[in-house]
Amino acid sequence: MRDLPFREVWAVDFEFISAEGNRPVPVCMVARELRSARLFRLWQDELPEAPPFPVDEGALLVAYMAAAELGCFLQLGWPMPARILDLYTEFRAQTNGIKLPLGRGLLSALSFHGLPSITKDEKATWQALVLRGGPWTPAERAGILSYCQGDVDVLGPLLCRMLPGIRAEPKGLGQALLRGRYMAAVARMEHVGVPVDTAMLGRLRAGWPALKLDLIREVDQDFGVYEGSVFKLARFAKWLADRGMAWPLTEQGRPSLEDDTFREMAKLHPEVAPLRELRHALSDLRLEHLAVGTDERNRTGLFPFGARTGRNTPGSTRFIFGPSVWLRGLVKPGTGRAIAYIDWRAQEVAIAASLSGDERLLDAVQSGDPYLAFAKLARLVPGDATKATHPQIREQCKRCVLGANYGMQAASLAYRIDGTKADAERLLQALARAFPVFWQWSEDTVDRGMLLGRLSSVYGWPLRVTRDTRPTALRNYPMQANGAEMLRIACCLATERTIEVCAPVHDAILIEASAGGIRDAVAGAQQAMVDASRAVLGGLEISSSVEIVSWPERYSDPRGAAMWAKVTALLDKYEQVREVG
Amino acid sequence: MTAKENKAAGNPAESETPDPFDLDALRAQPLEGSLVTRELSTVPVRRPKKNEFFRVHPDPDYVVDAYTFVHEVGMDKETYWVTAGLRAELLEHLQPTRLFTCVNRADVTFLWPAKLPDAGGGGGRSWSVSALEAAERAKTSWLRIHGNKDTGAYDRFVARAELPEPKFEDKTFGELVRIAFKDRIIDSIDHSLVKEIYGLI
Repeated sequence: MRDLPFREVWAVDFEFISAEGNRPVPVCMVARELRSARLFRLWQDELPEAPPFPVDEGALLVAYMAAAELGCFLQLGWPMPARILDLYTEFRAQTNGIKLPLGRGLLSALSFHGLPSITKDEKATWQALVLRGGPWTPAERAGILSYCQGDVDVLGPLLCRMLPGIRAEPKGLGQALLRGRYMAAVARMEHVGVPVDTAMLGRLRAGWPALKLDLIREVDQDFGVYEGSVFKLARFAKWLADRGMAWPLTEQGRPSLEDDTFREMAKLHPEVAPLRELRHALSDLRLEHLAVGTDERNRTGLFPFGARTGRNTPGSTRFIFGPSVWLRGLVKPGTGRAIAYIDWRAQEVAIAASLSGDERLLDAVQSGDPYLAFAKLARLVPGDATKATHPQIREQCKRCVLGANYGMQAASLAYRIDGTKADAERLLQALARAFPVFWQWSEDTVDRGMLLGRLSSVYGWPLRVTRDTRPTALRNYPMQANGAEMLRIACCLATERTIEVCAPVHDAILIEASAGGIRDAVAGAQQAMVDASRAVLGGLEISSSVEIVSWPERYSDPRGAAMWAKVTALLDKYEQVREVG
Repeated sequence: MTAKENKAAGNPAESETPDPFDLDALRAQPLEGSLVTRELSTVPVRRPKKNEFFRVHPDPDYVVDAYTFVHEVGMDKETYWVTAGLRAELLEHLQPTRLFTCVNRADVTFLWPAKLPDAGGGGGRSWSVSALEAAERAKTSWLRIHGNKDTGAYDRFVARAELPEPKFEDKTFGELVRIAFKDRIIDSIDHSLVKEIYGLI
């Protein structure tokens, strides 16, 4: 640690109260300089207007899951540290791809590195005391501060154990600091949150028990697959057969009822979407879990680097951008405000083209429509074809290109293009011939992962390959991991340029501004996304599409629009009945 | 860990503070190049399938006339390479064959043992002649062949689409033949198939 190129190294931890959907309320903070052992133990009423330690480029802040500490910084109005090393992200990086019996928390990291720690139960006891809220007795205060200091005091030894791994790669420390920089962006995004129509949410929550049954009746009119409130597989199989709709089967030869299958098939057959939404709403939707604060904003931990690809993994029932897409209708800017959903165009294909160095695929990307360009190269459509003239073949080519990114085989592709296995084989062969450099690079990626036991994004997010790693995951890793990298950098740039980013959503971001300022904010965010794509792809710019929603309009995801309409119509009906009653 | 320990562990020590805002400096070059070499291990020896578009290598160095032995077991036929020293011995059991180097649309290379017509104009001559004509045509065009029992010959179906030129394996014909016949070479009178021919087993 002594040769770390920083004047001071500060280990920091906050205890805070985090009520569902609200910003954190700091309870106390402990900070220790790891070389001199200088110590601050400050209770909430002692926290100053600025950090009691330096946060300039010469000082390193070390924390575990720094987004939480930095959320407290924002709450206190403190400036963000210029250099952050988050041992949580580094532990994730160090063990990504490996199953950890004790999870990803601080205790697991300490155990993994052979360091002593308090027990899980002890930790839970102290956390419960903090979350109980004040007032705390003097003994409780002293105890909480000591518990907080305990979490700080283990960071020094943990850092010493982890540093060799962090610095094993030539740019390892700098890349770790870049990940730390993202934790500041996460704190800013969690601080902003997503504006939600709480009046509508209240109506939904109140009406949900009755809504469930009525929704079944309403949606099932077009399907006839429910008996009471029970989904009948045989009826669904008949519904598919009556329409001649090919559907992925289980090993037992029955139609697959996995949500992933429904989601994929709903893209191909939009008429299936309401059934998918209904099934998800009935089985997994927990409206009471949706985390909405007193300021009418959805706010939940984004769990950065939660996925193996490095993507965020916010809790699906707490986050408004979870799997129930119809629920996104609750996203609504407040009076005089506007939001914008900004989405990269063909991001995955652009990453594949750039990293593989396939000039023909790059040309296809730069044509603005890589899927149609592939269709033309494969002579599936005439040279003057457009998205409007050949929508179906373009869609098939899109599914083929995206499927090939993760090694989709002909049998799976056949369902997705609504064709035969032979059609799918021909399309995959055409893709291999059209973009041979990409195809070979894709094969090489799998070989590289299998041979070296490791793959990495351009900014060093690594994946350990184990015997359980699927080749398809390796093949897709460069697109997903670098896509995640791009999103992280875009979020850093946008939030540092003071754009209010409400949330990252897979390969898109949601921003907010005043109705009058939204166009400038969009321009700024789009520039941040362009800058991020140039950084990750060595100069290649990926453009983005924008959807702006101004008050009093609400956000709507097309995939959930039909379901949202049914839900709101039913709620209106209930209220009319109540008024008449 | 001290600088000395760090160096001993093989870790580079930063001479200055790495800057998380300098994205160009932090970016690693994407890994390029293959870590594996594909080795051609199998070259099928067979007639083109009825739905298979194929091309024939136009280089005369990639075709040879040879006497081969065709071993039939039920519906399956396997073609064996017979070394020069044994041809006279086994002549009446061998088939005069023209061995073409072919590639299909999936870039699979195979050798096509096309039977040469009998000098005496015996039965099946039209099959052989039409096969050889198709092979000649396939040196410049993608086509498929389909046996037509009514005419006793192969029909040719030439692709009308503008298709890319074929990709042949970067191997000499000798190398392709060795791979194709690696475990189907009759090089001794002690070979089990020779013994079978002479009723010795």
